[in-house]
Amino acid sequence: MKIILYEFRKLIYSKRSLIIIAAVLMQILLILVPRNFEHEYSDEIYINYMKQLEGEYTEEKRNIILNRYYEINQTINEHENMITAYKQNTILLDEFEAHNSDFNRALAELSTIEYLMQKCSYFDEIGEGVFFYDTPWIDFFTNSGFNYIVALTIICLIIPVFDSEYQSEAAAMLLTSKYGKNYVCISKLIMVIVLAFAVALALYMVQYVTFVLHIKADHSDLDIKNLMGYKAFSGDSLKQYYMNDAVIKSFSCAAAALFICAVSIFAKNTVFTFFISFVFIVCPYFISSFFRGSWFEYAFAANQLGAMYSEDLNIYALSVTYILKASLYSGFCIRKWGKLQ
Amino acid sequence: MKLVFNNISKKYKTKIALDDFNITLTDGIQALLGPNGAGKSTLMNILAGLTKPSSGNITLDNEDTVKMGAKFRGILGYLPQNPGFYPSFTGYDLMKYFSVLKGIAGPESRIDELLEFVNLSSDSNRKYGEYSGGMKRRLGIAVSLLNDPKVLILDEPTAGLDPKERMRFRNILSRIGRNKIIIIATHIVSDVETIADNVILLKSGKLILSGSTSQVEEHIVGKVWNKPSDINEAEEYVLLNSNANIIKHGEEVSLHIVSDVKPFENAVAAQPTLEDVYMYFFDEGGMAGEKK
Repeated sequence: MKIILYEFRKLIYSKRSLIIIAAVLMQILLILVPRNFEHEYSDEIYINYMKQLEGEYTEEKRNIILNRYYEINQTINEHENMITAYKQNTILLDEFEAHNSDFNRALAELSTIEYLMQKCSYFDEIGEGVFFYDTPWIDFFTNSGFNYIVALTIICLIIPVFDSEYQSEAAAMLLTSKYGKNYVCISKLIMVIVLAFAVALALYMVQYVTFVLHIKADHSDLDIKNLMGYKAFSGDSLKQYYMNDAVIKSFSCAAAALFICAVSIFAKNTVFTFFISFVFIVCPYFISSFFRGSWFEYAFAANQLGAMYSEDLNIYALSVTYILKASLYSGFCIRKWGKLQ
Repeated sequence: MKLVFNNISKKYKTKIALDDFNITLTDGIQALLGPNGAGKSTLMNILAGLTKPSSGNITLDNEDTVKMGAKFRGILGYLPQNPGFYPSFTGYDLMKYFSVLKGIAGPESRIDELLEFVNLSSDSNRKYGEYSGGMKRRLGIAVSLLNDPKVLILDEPTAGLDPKERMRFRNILSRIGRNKIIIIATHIVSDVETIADNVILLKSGKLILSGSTSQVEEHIVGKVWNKPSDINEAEEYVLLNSNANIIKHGEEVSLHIVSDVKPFENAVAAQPTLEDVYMYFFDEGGMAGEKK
């Protein structure tokens, strides 16, 4: 235990702590900086509808949407006739302008009302639902992308665990002491797992807290099934879904951290270790679409650092994969740590 | 105690770092002398278990040191040339950390004793990064002594130190105790001349000569010369001959030459020193001989 605490202290001192502080600030900025995501509906119109419809999905609200849908379609359908009527002077300009105004509004609202119709069908399918302004949550869950900040933070924090011993030549002093071989190596690996998991989880929590405070969201306890496409996660709240994903991603970071340690011990070269770690942690996510079958997703732990976890994810298979990898990387580290040359 | 090196060889792809090295060492200070690239650090690393020999083994009282594993490391003290401790740790913190690694229970009194021994008590709460070169080296020796090792390896312990620190280091080594095998690998002869019990000369991975200081000096009796000279002649000679140096006693100047044959008519034979032995065997001009 003492050795683990000393290893932790060696790694996290004032300058290295700056890496974590910088990562936290970047995570916050990532949420606060406005980003425009494309939606199949007009978000401005959608907000207005949600203010009107917010709350439990009821027959009355369904009828409001249906009626509005029919009105919009009717307005659009009669547009050609109105143009003809105006040209034939069967309607006055005022009437035509009024229709035109309705027509433009109908066009603008069409995509949104169609989206709301889909939502009604979805709520009918699952038997219940709650209307709320869910665009920020949808963007948060579906547009997260690969988290470079977490990946780079883990790489920068973990590389020095073994690398600094080789670069400073402290490894020789450690390896010639009674417990300097296996005990030190095991202590470092335990510290790496705990640190990588904790730092990753903390960064994801920072991201979540910043998001919730930024959108002033008070819907985090709603069931996630109220978002279209997430009925497979029914029973989990929005907050719980994100937490589950953060924990999975944090375990992925811990597995990736052990990989970094293995590369570090093998290479004994900082730049090479950084390059290989970056390539094998970042690149698989971007080439995963070229590989058929879910095996690729399990082969590279860092694939989990991208999108939110899917319903297809087999947690047991992922756990077994992580345990196997952890054992492989740890075994390699323990075996090779004692060999300086 | 008997530390035996049996046919130790270490070969790399393009180089033979150690070539069939055999020697038996007993208690006392063993000075391992040789130029850069002689194989001193390789030999130290093999003894410390940091690298495997290509062939051969090392035994301590008939037990293979590799097979002893943690038991050997428990009685081993090692100070590499550049210890590389952690700059943010204080001297005391480093001592505590390594006492944990060396399995020393309740180390506080031992730490205080060693810090006093190396004259770092008043600086123990300063960060290692703030230490001077000499202080770092002294802390290194204190760390290597934590477990009261029976075998102590010091690899170039005085390299880069000023004369005052080097003298302090020699005093520390003299006080360490005689019931240990202390191996000092160095190319600075003056640091071990007065304290070494045994001198081992290593060149190009091969053992050239070993014995007490007087025994190795005996090998070059009649091969060391002094010749009175003037400063200009002396400087010119030294420029052209690497086996000579200038000695000044006040106004008097003389050339000190290591040579198999008498170099000048008026040269007189001089008493060899360990420095002369080093120059004789490791002079690039080819004065060095090999163990016959």
